[in-house]
Amino acid sequence: MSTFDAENADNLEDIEKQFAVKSVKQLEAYWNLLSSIPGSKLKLTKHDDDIYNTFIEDFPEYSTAESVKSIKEEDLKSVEGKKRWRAYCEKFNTIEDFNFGTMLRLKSDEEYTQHNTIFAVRIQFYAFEIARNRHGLNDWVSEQK
Amino acid sequence: MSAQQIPQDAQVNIISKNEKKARELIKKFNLKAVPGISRVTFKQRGNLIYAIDQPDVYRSAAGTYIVFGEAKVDDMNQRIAEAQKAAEAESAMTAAADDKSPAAITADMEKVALDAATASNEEEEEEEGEVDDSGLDQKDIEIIVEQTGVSRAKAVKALRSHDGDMVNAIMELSS
Repeated sequence: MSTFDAENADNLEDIEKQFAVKSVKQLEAYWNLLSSIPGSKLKLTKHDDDIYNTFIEDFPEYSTAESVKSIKEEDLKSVEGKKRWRAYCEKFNTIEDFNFGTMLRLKSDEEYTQHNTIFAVRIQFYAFEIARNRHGLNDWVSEQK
Repeated sequence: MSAQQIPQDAQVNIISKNEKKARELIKKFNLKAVPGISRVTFKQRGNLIYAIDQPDVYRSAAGTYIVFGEAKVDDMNQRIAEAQKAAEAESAMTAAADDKSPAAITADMEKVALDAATASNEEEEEEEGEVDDSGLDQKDIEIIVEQTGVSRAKAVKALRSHDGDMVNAIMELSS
């Protein structure tokens, strides 16, 4: 039925749009989840413990609540940062969508605004959001009316 | 007016008094009629689709749309058949004219949403009834049911197909 040839396909704008649609849907689904359930009671995947423990091992600088509350894009996307993250990502390459582009908030005490949102991969999103949820940093979302 | 004044095959829209009033009011807001729209659909959670065939569509300068017409709850099966035909025609059309108007983008997104809904609809029918939730967290299932309003069976299935990933499961069910 499909005549789509991935090897020779152009970067079709419509496909890129769909990709943006998907990442926004993911963001919305997560935000709705946080709005109705306090993050500290939330489980994101079956592998939360694994993701979190490896995260703290590989990135000891993010072991405190204060350090995951506000993160810097440069730390994630510097040459050194990318190298460390790539190694981390590969440890979880069995998780669904682990390398799928995902929106990540820089500061956990703000919503997904234009300046608070960066582009990360799914496993980075899990690492930071699981850490934030465990430190109770996202609980405010469900408490606001 | 008497009945003779209307020829038999005339295209007459019968409009109720209230609707007529509303239409007149709305026309004062500087709205432009959008011609050539054959169908408007609203999608509600849980695959309920309200459709208006042959609607009168008006657009404001700010991009707000106002739609007149009789809404009908859509029959999924009928819609699938129609969508397949429409998709064929549409893909031919979009290939020819690279339409970037907001309406075209909305139409594209609706199409994708519909395809996804159709796909999940077909799968559902097979497995409805048997709920094997072994290995899944009861709390997770409850959260998904609560968030998306689907049946427990569907929540279990979505969780399973995404290996316990909550956000992905919710995305699948609410797309």
